[in-house]
Amino acid sequence: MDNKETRNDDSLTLNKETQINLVVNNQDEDEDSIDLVRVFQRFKEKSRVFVWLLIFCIVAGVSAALLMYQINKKPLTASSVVTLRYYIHGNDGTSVQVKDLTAPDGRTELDLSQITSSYVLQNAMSDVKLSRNIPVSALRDNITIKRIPTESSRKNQELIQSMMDNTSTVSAAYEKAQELEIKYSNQFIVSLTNGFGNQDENAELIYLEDSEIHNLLDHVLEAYNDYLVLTYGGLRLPDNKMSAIDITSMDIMEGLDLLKLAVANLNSFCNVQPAEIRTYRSWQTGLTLQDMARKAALIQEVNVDYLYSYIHMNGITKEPESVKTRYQYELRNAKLELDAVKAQIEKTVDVLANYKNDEILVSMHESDTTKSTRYTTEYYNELVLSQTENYSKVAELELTISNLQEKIDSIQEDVNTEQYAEAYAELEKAIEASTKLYNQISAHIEEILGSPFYRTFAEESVPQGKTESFLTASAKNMLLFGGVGAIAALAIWFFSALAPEFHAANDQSIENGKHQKQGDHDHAGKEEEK
Amino acid sequence: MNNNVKRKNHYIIITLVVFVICLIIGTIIAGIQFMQKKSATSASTTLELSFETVGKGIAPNGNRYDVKEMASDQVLQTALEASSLSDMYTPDQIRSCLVIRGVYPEDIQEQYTSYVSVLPGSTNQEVKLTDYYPSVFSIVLTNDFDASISQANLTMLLDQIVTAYKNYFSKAGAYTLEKGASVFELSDYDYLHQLKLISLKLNNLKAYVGQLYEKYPNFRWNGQGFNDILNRLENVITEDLSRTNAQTTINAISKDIDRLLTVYTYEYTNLNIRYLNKIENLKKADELVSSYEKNVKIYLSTADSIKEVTGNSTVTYDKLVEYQRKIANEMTNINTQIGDYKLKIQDISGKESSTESLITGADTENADALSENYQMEEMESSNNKDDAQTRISAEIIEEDIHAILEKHDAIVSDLDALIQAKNAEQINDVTVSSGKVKYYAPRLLSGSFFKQVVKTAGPFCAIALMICLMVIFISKRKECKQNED
Repeated sequence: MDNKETRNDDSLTLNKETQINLVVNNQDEDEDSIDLVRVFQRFKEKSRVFVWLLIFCIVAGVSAALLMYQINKKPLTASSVVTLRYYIHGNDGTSVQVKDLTAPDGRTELDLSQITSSYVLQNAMSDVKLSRNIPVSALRDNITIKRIPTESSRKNQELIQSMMDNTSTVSAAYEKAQELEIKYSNQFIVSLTNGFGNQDENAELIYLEDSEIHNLLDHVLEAYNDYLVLTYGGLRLPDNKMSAIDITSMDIMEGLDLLKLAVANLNSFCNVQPAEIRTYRSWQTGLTLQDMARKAALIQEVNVDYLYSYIHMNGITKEPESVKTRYQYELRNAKLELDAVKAQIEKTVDVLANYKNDEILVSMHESDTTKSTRYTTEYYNELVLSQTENYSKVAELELTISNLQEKIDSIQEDVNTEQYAEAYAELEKAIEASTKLYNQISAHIEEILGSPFYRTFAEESVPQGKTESFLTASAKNMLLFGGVGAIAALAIWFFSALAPEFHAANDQSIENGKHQKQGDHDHAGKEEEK
Repeated sequence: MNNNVKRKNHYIIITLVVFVICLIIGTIIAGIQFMQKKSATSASTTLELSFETVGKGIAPNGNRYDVKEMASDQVLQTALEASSLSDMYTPDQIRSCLVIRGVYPEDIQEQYTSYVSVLPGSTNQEVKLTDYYPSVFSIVLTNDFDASISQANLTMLLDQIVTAYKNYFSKAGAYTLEKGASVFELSDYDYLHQLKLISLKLNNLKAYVGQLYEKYPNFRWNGQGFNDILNRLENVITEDLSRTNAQTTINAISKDIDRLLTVYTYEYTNLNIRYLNKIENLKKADELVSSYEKNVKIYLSTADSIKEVTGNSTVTYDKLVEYQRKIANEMTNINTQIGDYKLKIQDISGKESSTESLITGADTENADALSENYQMEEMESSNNKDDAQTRISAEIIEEDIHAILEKHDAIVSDLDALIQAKNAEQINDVTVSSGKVKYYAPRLLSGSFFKQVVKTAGPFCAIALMICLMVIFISKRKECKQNED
């Protein structure tokens, strides 16, 4: 027990010394505190190195930004807005400017994928000189077409979107979305992006100059315009039938028949054109197609009909028998056709009489009474309307037969050479006047076809879009990376000035530790000696 | 101290040497790249259009214009001939090297390039694209068609192209009066037909002047405007032409009265046949309409809604009625024409017709016999006409026609002057103006080369500078350590 107590006393003694050491250690902690004066002195000492470091870091940052731009450079995308501006026939028969993506035929939807068809792209590329050859397939891949929904479609889409955002109306939104038919306006955007892939996937992309991209897109759209005009442009003159009238070999009646038909065709060609084409005034002749249509009508009246009545009333012909035979043949054919149409009418009348239309039985709501009614089917209605066509045909054929009969009756067996010569000269004049008019119309149509009025079915804006310059595009990154470099340099400077203080404190504590160990060792030795 | 200074100078010299070496290497690489990708020489200029409707893409005369017409055969051929280069180049060669681009303002460019489809759905998004017709264009002609063309020739060619386009526009964008040979030779026709031809001329002109007056009601030149011309034309048509027409018709004045009678008789007979034909047609149409039964409209009512059950019987019925109406209208027209010819025949015969009224549905069956009767009667009566009186009347009509033609020519002359004045007001030197033609050739002293140098040598120099700084930094560090030791 005594021994134990003695040990306890010893430990107490040691504790006292430890306490003394702790005090000493506390004094050392005071020495650990950072001496700002020394730190600032070091800042000052290292300021020259810091300037170099700062420059280094900023340059490194700016260079990194520039390299990043070179690596991640976005290729140019040139865009052009195309507005369709042709006229289509409205429901009421008038021509109206297209308001959606309906094709010029007025029935089908315009096939925009034709912009990237091989025909259009090859035509476009043949018209433009490029610094590097690019395959058509690569060009096709880089063209995008955006259609533009109409205002109402856009609002509907927004409504559905808002309904979808609301959890309670999601199912209704899906239903509505299925019913929604998106309508597009008569504008669309075509974009071409630089950087063309090769057939070899590993090969590098082909880049063209920015100006070449603009030019190429311009030519693609022009080629598409040509395609539209070629596909849908119906503005073609009827054949020049006047040139086919050879009055030296033909009989005068036959020649006049042909002329009558030719002038009527010319007149109808002028009249069936849309109002915009009819009223286009040529800057070369000062005339419109309407003016020419009136001239054609006048030729019909003062030249053709005037001569026609004279020839037929007097039965003027060079070879009466031959002409008579021809008319008799035509008469026989017309009569046969008339019989056929009349038979068709009779048959249709029978069908209509025996046709059983639908019968609808309607039961009254909250009542026991029922009522039946007849309901004409679509087929029945079509049959009825086909009868009107048949009747018109009969009327036309009867008129033809009557005219032919009259012509046959009027043909005189004896040829009156004087009358024939007079009629012949007049026919020559009529052909001459008609040919002049045909040439005028032809020149006018050529002018329209070559003019912007007709050539530009779709009007495209000049392709827009430009790449930012090297410095402008990377300015933001240069500032950012430069700033980061500067901050890094500052941090390094700061820590380089501060670090020695920590080093010193660590060295001191190690030394203190050594001293303490040494002290303990000495103390133990003394105890042993005791 | 001296050692320190020497060491610093040493570092600076090393840094500069490395920097310069890198700069030289970068410049050489840039030079090689520049020479390899050397772009074609070009001449460029700007073209500005200024007239009222330029913003709508419409020329002063109301026709659509397109500056790309500058690349048309007509303009390019004129330019080549004016530059005396037509023997060396063709319009096709020049066309592929001529770039015409409109200058668009920033906001329009923004619209065109940053349009985002609304399919993702976003409210209040601006999706309407503005139609914009630029009024300023940049025209560039590159020498791709001939690399050896001189600067003088290239700039002259572009200048001539622009000049040729200006001339073209001054014609294509201006108003013009009827030009070219006439289709009809007036003297070949009978008086009545001559009057019809003159009437056509005057009415076509009247329609044109009417359009011009509608557009420019206040335009006046030399004391007269388009409305004055319009009034003069109106007077000639309603007074002179109508009077002469009446005299010719009523007095049956013709170069060949027998021929005229033959024509009228033929037309009269023909119209009667057509009328009979239409009557038959109308009977059938009436039968169809009366026998057709329209559906009863049924409304099916349920607790929630009312549904209409109907077929297209109304549409079919309407089509039948339309068919019926069309035939009736045609009959009315034919009847009017029959009446007209009947009166004309009466004029020629100079006596009342045996029939009292126009041919109607009731008496058309006798049309053929009637027309034959007419012909015989009129032929006889025409033979009895006083030839001398006819000749005098014909002379008067010829004088009247001549007077109308003189008036027409005077009006055309005044109208032409008026149109020229209007054209001069609208299309002048400032309507299509162009800037100075500039020549561009890529040279080692050009801005694009410096740009290439900055792009290529820049990274080289930056890397070199960084290496130098690292070397300096490491050396400095070593020095510090040595000093501390």
